[in-house]
Amino acid sequence: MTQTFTLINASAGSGKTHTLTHQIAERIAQGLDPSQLIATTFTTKAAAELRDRVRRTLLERGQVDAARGVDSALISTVNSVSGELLREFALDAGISPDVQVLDEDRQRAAFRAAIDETAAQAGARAAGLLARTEHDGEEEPEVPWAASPSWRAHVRDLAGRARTNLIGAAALREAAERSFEEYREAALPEAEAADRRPAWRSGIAEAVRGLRALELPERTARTVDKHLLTLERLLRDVAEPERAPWSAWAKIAAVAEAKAVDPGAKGYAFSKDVDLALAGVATTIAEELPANPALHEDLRSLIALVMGTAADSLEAYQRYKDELGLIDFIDQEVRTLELVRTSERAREVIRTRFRLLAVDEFQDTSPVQLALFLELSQLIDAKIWVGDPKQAIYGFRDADPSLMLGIIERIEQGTAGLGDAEVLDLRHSWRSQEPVLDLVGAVFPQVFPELPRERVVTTAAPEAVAAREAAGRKAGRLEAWVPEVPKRLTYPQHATAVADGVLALLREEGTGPADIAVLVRSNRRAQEVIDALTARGVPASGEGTAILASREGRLVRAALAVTLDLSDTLALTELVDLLPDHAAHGTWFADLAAQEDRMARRELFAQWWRDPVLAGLRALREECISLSPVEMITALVDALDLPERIRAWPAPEKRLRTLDALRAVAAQYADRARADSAPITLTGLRIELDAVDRGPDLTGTPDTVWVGTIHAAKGLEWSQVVVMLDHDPTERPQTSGAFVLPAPQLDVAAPLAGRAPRYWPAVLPRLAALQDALAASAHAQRRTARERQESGRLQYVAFTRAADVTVLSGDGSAPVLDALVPAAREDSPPLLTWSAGGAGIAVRGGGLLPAVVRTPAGVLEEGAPRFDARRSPLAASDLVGDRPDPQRLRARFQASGVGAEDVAGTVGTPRTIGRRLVPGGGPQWERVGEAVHAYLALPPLGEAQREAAAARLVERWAVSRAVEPSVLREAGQAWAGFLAAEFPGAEELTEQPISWWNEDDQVMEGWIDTLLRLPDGQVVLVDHKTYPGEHPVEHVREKYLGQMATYARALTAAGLAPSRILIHLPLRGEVVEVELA
Amino acid sequence: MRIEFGWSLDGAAWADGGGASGAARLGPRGLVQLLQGRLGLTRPAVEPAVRIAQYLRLLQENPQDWPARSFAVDPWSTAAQLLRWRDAAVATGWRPATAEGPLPERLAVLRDLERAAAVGVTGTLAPSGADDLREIIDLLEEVAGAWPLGIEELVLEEQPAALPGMWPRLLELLAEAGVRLEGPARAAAGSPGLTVVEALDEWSAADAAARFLAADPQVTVLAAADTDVLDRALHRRGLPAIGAVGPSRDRAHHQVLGLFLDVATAPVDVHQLAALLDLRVLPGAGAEAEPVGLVPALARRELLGALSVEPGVGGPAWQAALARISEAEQPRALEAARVIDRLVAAPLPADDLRPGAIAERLDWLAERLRAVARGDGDLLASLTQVQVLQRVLGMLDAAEPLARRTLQQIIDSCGGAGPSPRAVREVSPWQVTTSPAQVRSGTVLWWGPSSDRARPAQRWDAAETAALEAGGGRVMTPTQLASLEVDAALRGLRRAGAVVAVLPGRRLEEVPGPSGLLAHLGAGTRLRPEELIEDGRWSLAGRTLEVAAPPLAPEPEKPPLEHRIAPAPHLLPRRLSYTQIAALLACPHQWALQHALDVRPAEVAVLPTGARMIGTLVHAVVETLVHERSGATAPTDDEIEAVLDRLVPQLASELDLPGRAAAREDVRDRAVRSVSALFSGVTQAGLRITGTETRFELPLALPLTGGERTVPFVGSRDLDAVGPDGRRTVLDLKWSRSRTRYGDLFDTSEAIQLASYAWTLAQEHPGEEPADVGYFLLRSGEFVSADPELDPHGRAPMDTGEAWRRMLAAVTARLDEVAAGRIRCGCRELQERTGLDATATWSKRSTALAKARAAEREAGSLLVEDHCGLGDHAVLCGTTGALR
Ligand code: SF4
Repeated sequence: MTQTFTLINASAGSGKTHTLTHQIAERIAQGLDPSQLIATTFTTKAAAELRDRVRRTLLERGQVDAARGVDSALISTVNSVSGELLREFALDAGISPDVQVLDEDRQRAAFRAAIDETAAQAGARAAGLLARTEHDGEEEPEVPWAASPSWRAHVRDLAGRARTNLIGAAALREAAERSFEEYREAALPEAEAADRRPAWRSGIAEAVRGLRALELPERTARTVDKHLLTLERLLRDVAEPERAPWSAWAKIAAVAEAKAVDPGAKGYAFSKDVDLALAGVATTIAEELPANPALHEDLRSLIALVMGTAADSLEAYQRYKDELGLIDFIDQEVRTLELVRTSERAREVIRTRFRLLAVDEFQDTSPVQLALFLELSQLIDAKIWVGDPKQAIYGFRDADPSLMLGIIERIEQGTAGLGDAEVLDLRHSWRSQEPVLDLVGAVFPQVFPELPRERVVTTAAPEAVAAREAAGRKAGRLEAWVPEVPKRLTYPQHATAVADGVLALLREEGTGPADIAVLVRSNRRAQEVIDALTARGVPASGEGTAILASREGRLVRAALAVTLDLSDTLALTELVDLLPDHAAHGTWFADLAAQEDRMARRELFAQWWRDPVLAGLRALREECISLSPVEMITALVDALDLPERIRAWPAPEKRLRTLDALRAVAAQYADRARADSAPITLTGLRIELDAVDRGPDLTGTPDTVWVGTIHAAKGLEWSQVVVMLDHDPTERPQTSGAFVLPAPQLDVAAPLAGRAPRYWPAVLPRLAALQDALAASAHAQRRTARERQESGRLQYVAFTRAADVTVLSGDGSAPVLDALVPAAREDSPPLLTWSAGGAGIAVRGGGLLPAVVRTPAGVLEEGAPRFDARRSPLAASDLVGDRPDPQRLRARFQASGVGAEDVAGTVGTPRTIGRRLVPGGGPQWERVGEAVHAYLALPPLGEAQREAAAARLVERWAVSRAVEPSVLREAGQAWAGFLAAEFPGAEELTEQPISWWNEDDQVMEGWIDTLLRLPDGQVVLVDHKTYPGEHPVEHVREKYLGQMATYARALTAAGLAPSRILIHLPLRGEVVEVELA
Repeated sequence: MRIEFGWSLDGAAWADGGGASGAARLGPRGLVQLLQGRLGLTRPAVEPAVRIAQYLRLLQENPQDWPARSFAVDPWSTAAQLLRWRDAAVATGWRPATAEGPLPERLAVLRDLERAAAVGVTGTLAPSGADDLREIIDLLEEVAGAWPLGIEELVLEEQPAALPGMWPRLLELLAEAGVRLEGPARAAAGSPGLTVVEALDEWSAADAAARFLAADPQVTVLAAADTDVLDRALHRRGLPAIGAVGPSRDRAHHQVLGLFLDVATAPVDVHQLAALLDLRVLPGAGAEAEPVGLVPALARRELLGALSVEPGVGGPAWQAALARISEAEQPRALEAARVIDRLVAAPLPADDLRPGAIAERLDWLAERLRAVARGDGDLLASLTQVQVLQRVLGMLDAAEPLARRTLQQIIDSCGGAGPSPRAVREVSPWQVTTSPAQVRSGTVLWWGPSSDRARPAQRWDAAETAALEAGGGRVMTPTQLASLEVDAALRGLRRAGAVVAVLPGRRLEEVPGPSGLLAHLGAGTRLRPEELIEDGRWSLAGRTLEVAAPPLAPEPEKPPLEHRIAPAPHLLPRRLSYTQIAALLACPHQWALQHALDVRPAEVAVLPTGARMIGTLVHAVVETLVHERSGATAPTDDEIEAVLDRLVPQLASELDLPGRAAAREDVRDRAVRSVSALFSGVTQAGLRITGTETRFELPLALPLTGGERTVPFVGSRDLDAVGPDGRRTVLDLKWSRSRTRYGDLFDTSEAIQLASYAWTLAQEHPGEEPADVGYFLLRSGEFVSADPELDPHGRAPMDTGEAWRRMLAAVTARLDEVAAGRIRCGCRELQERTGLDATATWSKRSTALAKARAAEREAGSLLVEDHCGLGDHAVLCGTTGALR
């Protein structure tokens, strides 16, 4: 078979999945077996969808047999495909076949645990250094915004990057010196010989003395006094050079940048008098600080500490995981790569088993993944890879679109080395109407100048156009919004304006909330827009009200607390307060305050608990102890009758999401506790629930406007999409942190080769001279460019989500695009501009795109109109009036479980039919009984067979020490003798299945030991019981009467009413007759 | 006897109604059992964990190259994996022990081990299900038809050749033994009418399904997903539950074993210990009764109490608790307490877990479970788990230490997932099945058809397949195996007249893909729940019900800013502490609930941790240093460290756990620096420490409108000292993040805590000049004081007398209000006054607050700002109450 390789270059909306599934179906039609397919997707959801689409496509094409086998195909995320291969070849790879995969949270915890000792020791040794460089912040601070950098977080980050790039400990250690050298070259002057800090200190002290001596008017004096306190504290701090932070000096140096020294500067660092007094020493420090030899040494040591510890940690982490049988996502891929590279057996199996490798969302591939795909591609004949480099927006997860571009390039040059290769460009959009595509066409060829135009723009597919026309769909359009605000536009105002604009869109006939999406840059912006929409009565999805801020969430929490512990009077009171139908609702405070003493209050609480509205919880309290956390939440929801209750509240669909989220919290709690080997208890659930601060994900709730980030919008589409543009997209300076240098020349065949780790600490972030120099360095520039490209792709995703209408909302231009496509000249206009009263969106150097321009209000007027959301149809209920509460019976019952209480019957005197086999019980009598029972259950056999069977059973039931096989034979003979005498000519049927529905419709299924069919057609029911004790009659009456009665009735129902009922007690050598009344 | 046999019929109903004798529907498991009985091949069941232990021994005794590396890292699961392969290979019909010639390495290992093993009930490897089938076949071949099976007819669902492994051979032999093989019948052609309801959550899906059943119960319910939510919806309608709820080990009584062994292993994690003590395993005797714990109530209470004071073991609180338990003369409690004390006093070393030592510790647990269980099925299952574990441990080399992970794996394999109490099917007018293959006819309501894929079948590679086949095995391709399941399911579904599938959409915030079977039934009609309702009628697939929307509930009202009730002098406090005063001043509402009305959260067994634990620890370090040292010099860093190290296991033992080294280092670093700063500061200032944690209880007269009322004022002072001039000083130690808060309180003379300490000193030493006061901030190692030797900020001395007077006036005023029946919501009122709401920025808030405080000060009163905004009572005043 020849090797083939198809790379599908699929712009947004171009029918990527359709193409992929048809390609797969086509290969199957040509003889590919579904089990020979590996397909990887980016998410598990996408995997399920792809599987379903492939199946449906096959069925549509009439490939029914193949469709039945689709479940044997390996369609999954890259991680689970890796996981599957690793599991299968674990023994070849020499790893545990039962590795536990760490998710992101647990990976973090495991890493921290693994490096704990190492880092604690290194940190203790370097305490002074970390204090001076202020890298001793908490790793996960409670108040993140005020926290100083944590060197341990840097270690973790660096180690993570090293691992995704297959960089080992040695390479990390080696790179430390280079990192410092490059830092020095970028930003530090030659180190001076002497450490001038003592001189600086006396300079400041002198300035302080001068200030103290100043005679000042009262107001200024107070300000100066305040700063003096700061300066004195600073002097105290720097008196201890071992721990004095470098930033203390920078604080003084800042004066040199301020007005007292530089008249052009905006203001003073401290205040006018203080700055003037400090000006001299500040200038000195500003000049000398960057050249301070101790600072250089500290930077070098800090880099060495972080990189060295990261290297150590890689090793410690590996040991830790090996010991516990853990593996993280990175390991999964790396190990699979190693496996496929080195295990002959794995290679051979993959080669023979798979014939098609399909890769979806190829642009989001990380280097390790690409290496893995390439390795697999050597073994698998046919390859179809699909992707769009313009939609790669997972750079923060190490996805690298240049890999896909590199592969395309090689295919085109014919150097891919993967067999007959072709690139298939999908050029039609099946999603969007022309105006939407026009905007894309006007902007993005400029954003992606390196791509040929036809790989950036698409045209509307003629079939889609025809279909839209046939369906009478309205023509598409562009809109541009300029929020109307009194001053400079703020984000909250913008959110208000977006809501106002959405209201305008909704006024149009045929447009509902679900047709509209608002795309924003961050979760914070999303929350603002959601709040603004909610304020106008427009239902929005996105993240909903926090679980514990919703009525239903609070009710469940309080109910859980009370049910677990009645002493939780706070939770009980909360229930009373939340349930309008509770008798004490509305009066609880006064009722409680009226009680004279604690006893009386206790009685009142008890009375509250007994209120009918809490009946469900009272019942639950008795059974909850054996419920799992998820079941408990379900039970609480039910006990409070929430599914019915919330119908009377606004937005019931959203509340149902809260309930689902509550159950998810319970499930996650159990999962995590299990993984941490912590106990899973309902008390634990309660504590967990108290800590939950998120809301449910409302995506997909009907009749809502979708609000979310562009990342979250990837892969989705709406009729109308509002893109809320950033006001001034600032680029963060990329001057610190861990990063990986790309290879000077990317080799897609060896995507990981030539990469090198670097680490620059975040010391003196406010020392402008230093930071500017770092920002100008090649490293920082390259990292900034990467960010910028990612931002361009993000915009592409945003601009391609709409089918009919794209709305740009902003202050008349799109600054984020201007950052991507800088103008050639200073005075050129922004790339896109629009203004109130205009007719469209002007493209720089490219004419005008017609657009509806609106000026939605950024500030709400009193009584602004609200959207009249219709009441959810789901509010309707079939449950009105009293609820029936019929008796409930288990559907199944066992005859042996039926008691003898209601059975009228007598037990006859035992008749001896043989020797007593087991005198008085004995330790093994239960098993002996089983063996005897098994022997008696045999069908009628010949002698030799009987002998063999008896020997077998004695051995199998491991009772040879207690009985000989002959004992079984003896029991059988006694029984046979009895039968021959009592029922001559009877046919013996052993182990007969019986099933019966009783008058309550409960079903019983079981095996009757023996049925005798007498020659006259009568039936005798027999049961063998292994009772060895001394009171057979009582025992039979107590234990077996119910069972016999049940069998008898069942047989009667089947037309085989027994004429006699016998109980055979082989261990006692007796037969007892039972007579039912 | 007449048997219907199908690959997916295990668990199917034996008959369709009425009653039947001599007929049953059986799947592979059922048929094997039946034949075992017929042929005298029954045997006691063997727990899977025991078989793994057996295979592990075999591997130990017969080392194998290929799996050696994996076996070294993870013996248990390597053994388990090889055993799975072995069973799968046997299931194909291959005979490992007799296989000849060179084999692929995987099979070679299996063969070598098999040759070393004696497979059988009493052998070194207990048989698997595949071995059972093998035995049956062997015996049938041996007797060559001369064994009466008593089965007249076997009606087949599948063609024999479609069945995997040895099954076709078995059927052949049965035929030879006189069993008539029927079928399979031609599968029904065509497709039933399909309607798919696509809900967005389980509750609206459950509404659809329950209404469908309520409208007409003549259906078969195919429960493909968990029915807990659906069952609740059915119960609300007075309909019976379906009870398809899976087993799980997330129940209290399944936690017993793991938790117990965790606590028994060093280093002891006090949080786990607390969880073990607190673990309840059975409901109490009635609705109001406390649930029954693994540990008897007295021991639980006392030991947990000790832990919540001192989160460590062996300290004074722990010892005192043990002493009290032994005085109480409750033998059970004492026995439990002693066992637990022994358990944690001499824990098993984590790197030397010997099976023998573990098994020994399990004895008490087994005994205790037996005592508590009183015949309860769930707990008996836990007991069985313990016993199986003891058996498995007994099979392992008693002296060879187990890795902690291996032990955990063994525990996991010893079972423990228990059935849910919700898994009860109730008598219903409809049929229930969980497998599409078992559908017989009529209309099918298909609950939750989703694509949760079964574990992929065992795959053999080409060489292995060849070897297996050469050795008599029959290997099916994955596609054949996949279609075996799909075909059976489709056969069942096609027997239905109509299929109504209800998809919950999302479950636990995940959206499972739809079942692949749906696609095979065609496009059908797809509906959303809201589309089922029109003009007050709900209808689905021809069934209808009346529905009506309840009237919208009125928006809940915001609670009042103040409660006006009948005069309530009985609510006035009988004792006051500083905490209570602060609460009263900050928010009378919160104070009333907490202190006067007994509205409190439950006391859960939460051990102090984080800042609170460390605060206590550092306080104790200071206290110990003061007590153990005399002399005027400050302790050295080494001395401080020694005390700290001594106290950690008793007061903060979690810092000794693995993974906490960094935290411990951090605490040690800060504590040593700050405690040393405390002592050197005190020494430099010429202060002599005279007491720590000095308790006081002094009469305090409150001039209330309704007459003077004297209550005891109680509390304790962190640090008392005397200056060189004989003047007293009291210092309060704070482990707090904020560096400015206390300085600010001091500077504005609103540090009422310090003022009250000064007052108590004045009461205790009448006539002396007022004491000096100050804070020491333990986190940063700084003093807040007017003494320049301690605090260089040059603060003005605080007027404690004035602060005390103002505080007293404010307290009196608040209590007068309470007595008159007026109870205000503190911070809400403040918010109202400052015009800020919850969304105001921090800086706006602090400016407004500063202003409000200044205003109160001007007015001669005092504003204590502390809001419990995120705290427990805020929900009742409406601050975080659920209004949405
Ligand atoms: S949130 Fe404020 S008003 Fe409400 S109880 Fe707490 S302190 Fe009082």
